[in-house]
Amino acid sequence: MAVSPLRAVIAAHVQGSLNRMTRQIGRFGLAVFLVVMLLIAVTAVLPIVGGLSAFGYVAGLGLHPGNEYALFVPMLALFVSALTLVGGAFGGLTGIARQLPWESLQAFPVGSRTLFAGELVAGAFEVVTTLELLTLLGVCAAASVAAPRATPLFALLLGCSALTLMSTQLLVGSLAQRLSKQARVMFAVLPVVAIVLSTLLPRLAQRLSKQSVDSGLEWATWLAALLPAGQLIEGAKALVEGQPGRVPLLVLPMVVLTVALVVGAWLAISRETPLSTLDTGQSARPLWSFERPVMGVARLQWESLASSIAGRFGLLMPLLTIVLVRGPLAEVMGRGDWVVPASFSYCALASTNLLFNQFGLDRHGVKALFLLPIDEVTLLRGKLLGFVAWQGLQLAMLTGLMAITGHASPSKLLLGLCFYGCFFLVLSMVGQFTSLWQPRPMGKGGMRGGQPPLPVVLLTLGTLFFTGSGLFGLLWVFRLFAPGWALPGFFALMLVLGVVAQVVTHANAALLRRSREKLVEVLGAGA
Amino acid sequence: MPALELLHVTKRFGTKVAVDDLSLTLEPGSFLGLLGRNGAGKSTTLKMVTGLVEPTAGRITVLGHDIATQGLQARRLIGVMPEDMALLELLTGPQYLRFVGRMHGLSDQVIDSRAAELFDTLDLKPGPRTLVTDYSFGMKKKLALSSALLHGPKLLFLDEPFEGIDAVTNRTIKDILLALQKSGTTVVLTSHILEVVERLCPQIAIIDEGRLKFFGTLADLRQGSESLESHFVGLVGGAPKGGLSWL
Repeated sequence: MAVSPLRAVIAAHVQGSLNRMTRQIGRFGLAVFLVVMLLIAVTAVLPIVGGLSAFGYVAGLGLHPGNEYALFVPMLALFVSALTLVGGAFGGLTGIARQLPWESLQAFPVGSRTLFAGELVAGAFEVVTTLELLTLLGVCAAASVAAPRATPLFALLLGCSALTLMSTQLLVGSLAQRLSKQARVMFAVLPVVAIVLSTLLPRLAQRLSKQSVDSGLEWATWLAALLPAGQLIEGAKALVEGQPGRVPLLVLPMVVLTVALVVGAWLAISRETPLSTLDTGQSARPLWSFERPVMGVARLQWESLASSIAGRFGLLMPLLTIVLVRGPLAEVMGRGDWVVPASFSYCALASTNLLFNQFGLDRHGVKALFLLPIDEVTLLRGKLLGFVAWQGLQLAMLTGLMAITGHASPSKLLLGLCFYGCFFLVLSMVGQFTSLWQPRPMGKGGMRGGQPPLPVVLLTLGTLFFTGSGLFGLLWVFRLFAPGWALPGFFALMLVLGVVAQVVTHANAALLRRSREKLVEVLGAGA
Repeated sequence: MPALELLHVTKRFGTKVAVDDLSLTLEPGSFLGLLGRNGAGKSTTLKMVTGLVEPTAGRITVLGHDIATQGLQARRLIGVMPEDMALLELLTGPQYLRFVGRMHGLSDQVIDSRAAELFDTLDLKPGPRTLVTDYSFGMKKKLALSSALLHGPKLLFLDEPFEGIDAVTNRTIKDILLALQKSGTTVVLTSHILEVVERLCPQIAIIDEGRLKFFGTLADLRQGSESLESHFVGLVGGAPKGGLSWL
């Protein structure tokens, strides 16, 4: 009996994911990984899901008339909405939602709707999304236990929220990818969007909150009543109170939102154009146009980053930083001393995936690099210089946006630049090592296939944690004992790290000499 | 009903015209060699007739199905081996063929039996857990060809099928393609190896800068004793440029 195309797509995706992990960490490593994941599930995931389920149970109790937990009901609506929309946006922007090689699949006799359904379901197998869906399941199931008469509506809430989450991932991912391809449009749109989102919206919310509501609870109730999830939960309350006549109208917004997002995501994905078919309007330019080889390698790296979706996506980071970090942080902490360094640090993380796999975009072209009559130090320095130039562009955009939207003073911006520099130098040093230790080919035409192997993920998290703790700890010490010395102190640290980076590059060059064969084999094989 | 029909097909990428007003018709059982220099528009043409790229203008029908409106029905009947092969590299060879077969609606039993026969015929012997990404170039070519043949297509498009293939497999593939043609399957292939095209393809189409320079039988093209290579070079205006100044 023939297997349905949807099942075939999902099976191939699951097989591919397992094969990738087995290839990266071996069969023994895979067994160890599963044990570790089980431990994490027991020690971290279960308490989170369990705790939130308890929250869902209390919110379910709040649906009963006159119950003291009524204030948890709007909280439930806000939580479900935030989890689905913010979680979906995060999944889309980080590229974790895109699982299937869409372009390869288009040659098969399968409709784009089936492929979309496959992509939608495959997205649920990503760790973060799975955790989010488990949380939604726990919350809705617990709320149903507390209010059994509302079970059908909580089932509907679960279904709609899951679809909303997964569709938002795909929609945001597709739009971000499309925007990344249109560099000129992005440069024109970025500043405008940043100014609108970071300046006007907080002011509007502030005015609304001052005029319409007096307390946090009233504000939450007011906001929850506007949200489709809030209205659906209001429908659940109507069911509990024995007023089923009100339900259809209250359910409608959530259903409409879900359908709109699913259709929107499908349209966005089915109309995606492969990067290879876009005309850049430019003729091929010579890559070796500089006198020194190191500049030639840097130019080559720049071209790789500029022509890849992953590289172009980095140009979105200044906007995201302004909207996600500087805006909320400034609201919570005022225009304090931590906002600018935090924003620059966040932006510096954008290229971690590329910095930790510096030869990934070269793919089989790495053979051509190794045939050049240049030594390993020149090659690594050239790549580093290419990254510096690309990061410099992001830095210039972020600095400009911070100056325009945040009215940050020049000294704060300079401190932010030094912070960024320190972060970048540490990441590039560790990244040189991981690029040689665990290389992997990366596609230029999309965000897919960029998942790093587990050892690199752990090393990345460790590096980010220790570097972040160290730099912010140092900033805290400066603030406490010598506030005026923070800028010169971080500038000096950046210079020291620059010198250390030179030494480390020589050490990594020796490693590169020993890793040539591995790089050619691993990166060339994926071509 | 023609196996393949292109009517005034044009494809533009921005300002660049990749394929310009291309028209040709192939009857069932034809064996066409599509020739052209690098960047002449051959691969774009193949991508358009297989529905991977949409034409800017013109109409394409595959075995009676308009590729723009009945792409799904058309794709059921064709087998494609694209230039970049487009394999799912994180699967093993047998897993990949099972995936391809399932997408074409074959049962797992049929897929496994055909896959075993294909692997045996093409002398493809990977390790049981070897992923496609670890295959050699030639092995990937054989796997891509296997996936194009697995469902028994009525129209086969092969982009550079003989590139990177050893001499023995080369001969096997030629025999398979000729047998397919005899059974009524239409075959379209591109190749830069003109001797192979000369030996295999009774019909020739030559594209240069997106325009069709010649479409007809090999006999029409030759009209004498000159080789296909001489005619091809003459048609695309690629006169030999002579030696290098420093050698």
